[in-house]
Amino acid sequence: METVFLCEDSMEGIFTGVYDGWASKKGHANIKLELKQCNTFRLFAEYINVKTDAQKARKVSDTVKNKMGEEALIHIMRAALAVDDEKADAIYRTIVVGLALKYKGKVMDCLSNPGVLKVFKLSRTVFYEADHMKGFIRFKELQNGVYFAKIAPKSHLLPIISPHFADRLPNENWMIYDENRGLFSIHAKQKEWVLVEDEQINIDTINKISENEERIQELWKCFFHTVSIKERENYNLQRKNLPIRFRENVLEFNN
Amino acid sequence: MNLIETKSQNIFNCQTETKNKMPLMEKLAVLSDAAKYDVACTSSGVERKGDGKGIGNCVSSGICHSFSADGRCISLLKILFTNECIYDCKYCLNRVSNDVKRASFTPDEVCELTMNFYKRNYIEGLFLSSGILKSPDYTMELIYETIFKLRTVHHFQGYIHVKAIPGAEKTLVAKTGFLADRMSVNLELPTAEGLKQLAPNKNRKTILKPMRLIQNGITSNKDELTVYKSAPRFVPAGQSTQMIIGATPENDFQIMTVAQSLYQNFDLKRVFYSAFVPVTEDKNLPSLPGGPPLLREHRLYQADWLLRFYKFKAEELLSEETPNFNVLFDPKCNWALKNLDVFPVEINKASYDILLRVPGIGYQSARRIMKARKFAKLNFEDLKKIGVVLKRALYFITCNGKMMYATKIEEDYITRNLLEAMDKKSYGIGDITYKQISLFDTQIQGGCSSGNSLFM
Ligand code: SF4
Repeated sequence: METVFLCEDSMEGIFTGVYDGWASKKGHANIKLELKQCNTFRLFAEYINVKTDAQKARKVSDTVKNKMGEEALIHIMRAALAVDDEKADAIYRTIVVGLALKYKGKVMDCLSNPGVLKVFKLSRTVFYEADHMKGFIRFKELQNGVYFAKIAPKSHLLPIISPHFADRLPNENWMIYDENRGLFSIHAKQKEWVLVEDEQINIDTINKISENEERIQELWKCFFHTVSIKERENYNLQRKNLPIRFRENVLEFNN
Repeated sequence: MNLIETKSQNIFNCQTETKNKMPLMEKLAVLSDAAKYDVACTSSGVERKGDGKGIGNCVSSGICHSFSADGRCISLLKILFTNECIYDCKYCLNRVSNDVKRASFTPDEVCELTMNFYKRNYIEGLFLSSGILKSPDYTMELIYETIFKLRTVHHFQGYIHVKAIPGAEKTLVAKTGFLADRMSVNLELPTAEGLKQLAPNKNRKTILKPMRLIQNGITSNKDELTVYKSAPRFVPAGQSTQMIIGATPENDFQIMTVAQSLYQNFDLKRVFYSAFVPVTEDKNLPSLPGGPPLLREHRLYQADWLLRFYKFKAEELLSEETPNFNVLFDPKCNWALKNLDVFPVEINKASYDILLRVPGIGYQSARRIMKARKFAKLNFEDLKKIGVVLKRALYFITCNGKMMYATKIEEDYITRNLLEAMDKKSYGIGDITYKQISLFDTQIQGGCSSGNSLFM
């Protein structure tokens, strides 16, 4: 009979699922990993609720890194941040394939395995979205000196983009709010960034912008409009490069 | 506007001269408008983590922060320091004989804009070019002062691309190079004759001189860095240049030959091509009723890509007899059609260099093929997963000795099939229409007979 491990939709949740599935010794073919919220119960299957455990997750990520290489770990971690009902199982399959390979660091070449292919595709999707977001995020300076940005990404991007901004703006207090997930990443000057769950966002604070803010925004909009060459106008190309769904929080596209 | 002016002066205490009373907003409008024809906007080529103290870092692939209405990437704050100019280049809005509104920034104003835009994640950094104010040295000095302030007063570690002003003193250019990530000198026009015709104050020699200077600076810096790891880096993202396409009568072959020799002899990182936009009237300038030659520019970029990443030579792509690119096919596809004796190639055996030459196989797919075929013999299904565009590649490849369908390896036959398989979009950039293509065709490529006959 098939055994389904139901994991929490988070990197730690999925990695714990991989650990428990493996430890159950039921044979990889008889195991399936599913996410808790998208599971549909089937009659002839046994269900096991996975309790997320940071230590188990840690062991899995260490093993992946040591045995399969850092690149594989990065792909798998990115895939875990994607929005996809079957990602947990694809990650499990990829790790099964990877640990059976003789050569370290080659698992992502085995694209003929459906699990690996899925992880590869999800990782690519998340990577592209994060890459876009690194460019399209807009901070505004609040009255209290905090630089604040709001995003609405499909994938869970905060763990990927926050390190980027922590490196870039180490001396600022900044905050990125993922409104789809109700999550914040918060960075205090000269400190590490942290992920915080919806604390009650204080609308008042967020709407109070600094004295200089509006002027800088106007300067930016002015630049944005003059830098385009009229004779080359091409709104289709613009839409292709900056899809509408990204524009909601991009200053120059909102008046 | 008044409010803005007083505010900016209160807060940032610019050393304003009387002449500089123009509000910052207005200056920005003038000086970004004047800079927009420079096409180099990439922030790529250097990877630099923040040092934890200053502000900013660099990502080697570059980051686009927005896209303007013309669909181009906005990555850097692209501005001129001043649009005053003592020269009289005929294609340029800023030429001395043209009657336009003039403005000049102060170094502090440029810093203010850069820092405030950067902190809000509008930009990756600064692209600073300039008209020639008073003299090349005077202008270069101002540029240097600006980025010196950015780097040392504001501790800015983001991307900086500056122009080296031809004719400026050697040491000034060298000093600037230690602060900038990329430097460029514009070639302006592909040939010396073109330059003579349209830019009477410039000549090839004065342009190539600073280019050589920067190249030598980069080379000797590399030697230094192998000895002293902590030696300051000179123009780490390398040197680029740009030329204007379609203002003078050079053909594509001439342009590609120039580009190739720039890559070979000056170690340039990038050559940019800028479709000429007629912004001023002059009897020496062509009128372009079909708009700027965008498809041509696009083909040049494709061919440039082939030179840099696909190991092609300009002479393989074009010749004296066929000096211009095909309107219908990209340069690589066109090459394949003219060299059918090379094909079909066996996917499981062909060398990397040969795989690179197959239409429909990009360099990433080629790399993946090389890796994947170590584990298993690849079939067409695998190729699809890898990302090969089979509807183009299928005429040129075999998998395990078999072609995907029975096809003839014959130019006319493949051409017809490829054309049918192409949707209109892949003709060129985004949404160029048939009409634009045919216009372009008669206008620039009148001599390219193969392109025309394919149409019928
Ligand atoms: S030197 Fe020539 S191209 Fe440069 S700003 Fe002056 S007129 Fe324009």
